[in-house]
Order: sequence, then structure tokens, then C-alpha cells
Amino acid sequence: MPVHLIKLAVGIETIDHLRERQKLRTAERKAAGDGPVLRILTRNTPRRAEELTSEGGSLYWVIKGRILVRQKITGIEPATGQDGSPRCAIHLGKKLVRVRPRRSRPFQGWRYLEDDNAPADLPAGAEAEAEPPAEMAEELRELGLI
Amino acid sequence: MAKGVDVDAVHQASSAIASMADDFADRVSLEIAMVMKLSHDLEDDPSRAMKIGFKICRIAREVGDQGETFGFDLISEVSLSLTNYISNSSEPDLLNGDVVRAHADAMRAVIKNKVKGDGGPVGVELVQSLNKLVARMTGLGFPQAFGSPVTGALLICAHAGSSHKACRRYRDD
Repeated sequence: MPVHLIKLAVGIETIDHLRERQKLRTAERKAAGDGPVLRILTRNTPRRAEELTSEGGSLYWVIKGRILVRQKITGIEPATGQDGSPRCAIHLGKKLVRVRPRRSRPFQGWRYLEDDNAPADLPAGAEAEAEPPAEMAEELRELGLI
Repeated sequence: MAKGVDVDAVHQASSAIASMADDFADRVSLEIAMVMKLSHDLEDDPSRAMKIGFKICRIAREVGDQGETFGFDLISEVSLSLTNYISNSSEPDLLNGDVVRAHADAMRAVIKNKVKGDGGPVGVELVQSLNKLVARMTGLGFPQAFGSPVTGALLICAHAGSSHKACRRYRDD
């Protein structure tokens, strides 16, 4: 049974926004001659790297407080940050797989996510749950609840 | 010959659940009205706070359970927050009607719009707002006031044999 990672997509508003950001990063790396590998850099290296990569682990992204999408982890290797400090590079597959949305509290860095606790993938072609009507948000604002 | 799954029975059960889900919004509106009434009772007669707290806790638990069953995750989260407030309050006499009403108002807004799922970013913001309110009012910091949905007071209250002191206190009244 695979183990996964979960991470906050800081500054990302939507799945499309994440996709665009990743395309941009990949293009920048390609232009710099680093190859078109999609990766993220983290401070801490997962001790369970072998499990993550060999058993089909994914990185689950938390966007605006909700787990919305995952990407397959294709590799983990040591890297160097822009300031020269040691980092861990987590390589990701390009495909963004939408999952059943689930609320997640904020946290720093990344966390392990056991397969039993991982949200299920949305079926291909499934529509995401409809956003609540604007009237509800307006009513909650008037009540001072948001 | 071994019998297989009774497909008709499965279909009937599915239809029954779908029908109950349709009725859920109507049924829960009555429960919310009761919570609202109880919030006023709290202020009118503080000496009954313990008994009233137990009633609110029970209603919130039932709404939360049913919401989860029928896919109304957001109203379950709001109910859980209310249950957390009741069960984490140090003294029943200190239960605040405004806090209860804030939850009832939130539930009413959610169910009026028949919002299924977690309510998206608005739902997240609402639940965070209520969680902060409860943490402030109970004096418990985050995350002490709020375990995970699995370990929170919602389930603790659900078990009659719970050793959770606050819930037991309300139940024993």
C-alpha cells in the first residue's frame, strides 16, 4: 500500500492556477538548461522516499484549505537551493488528478498521508461539486460569520 | 444454489436513501429552529443550562450524523463545531446563546441553499470562523478544542459510555 505526501499549494487559488504555475516553472527550468522536469524543492527529505517512489505515491495538493488534486511522485533526489543550501527535490508527474475535495488544516512543509486516509480520485469526467450559491456567502457575510 | 445479491433490494434501498436525502433539508430546518429556540432558553433560564446544553448537543449530533450520511458535509462540520462548543465549555452556566445562534444561523444559511459537499472555499472559511469562535469562547486553543472530525466531541457525545467529562455531565443531568 503506497504512502503519499500532502502539501499546501501556497499562493495558488485554483487547480488551473496550479497547472499554469507548474507550466511556467517547467518552462523556466527548460530554458535554463535544467531539463523539463517538474519538481518542487523542500527543506526536509522524506525518510520514506523509497516507499513514496516505488509504490506509486502521490503528492496531494491543498489549495485554499482543501485537498483538491494529486500528482504522482516520480523521483526524490538531493538538490541545492538558490541560496546554495541543501534541499530535497521531489519530482512530479505532469498529470493533475482531481480528488474528492476534503478540508485540510494549514501546516508547514509537507506531511505523510497514508493511503487509507487519502481522498479518493474523482471519476474521469466527473464534475467537481458545485460551488455554493453567492447568496449563501452574502448571507454569511451579513451575519458576520465569514 | 447460492443466492447472489438481490439487485432489486439494492435499488429499493438506494431509492429510499435518495428520498431521505431530499427530505433532509426540510427535516433539518425544524431541528435548526429548535436549536434557535434553545439558544433563547439558555438566556431566559440559565439554571437549566445543563439540560439545554444536552439537548443542543443531541440535536447537533443527529444533524451532523445525518448530514454526513446524505452528503451534506458542510452542515456536519458546523454541527461538529457546535457540539465541540457545548462539550468543551468548562461550565454549563457559561454557555453563550450568541455562540449557539451563530451556529444555528450558519446551519440555516447552508441548508437553505441545500449545499452538499464541503461548500468550497466559502465552506472552509465558515468552518474556520466557527472553530476560532469556539476556541476563543471555550478558552481552548486550536487544535485542543478540535480534534479531527473522527475524534472530535461529535463521536464522543455519541457514545453513552463515554468518559468525556463534559458530555457525561450533560447527559447525567
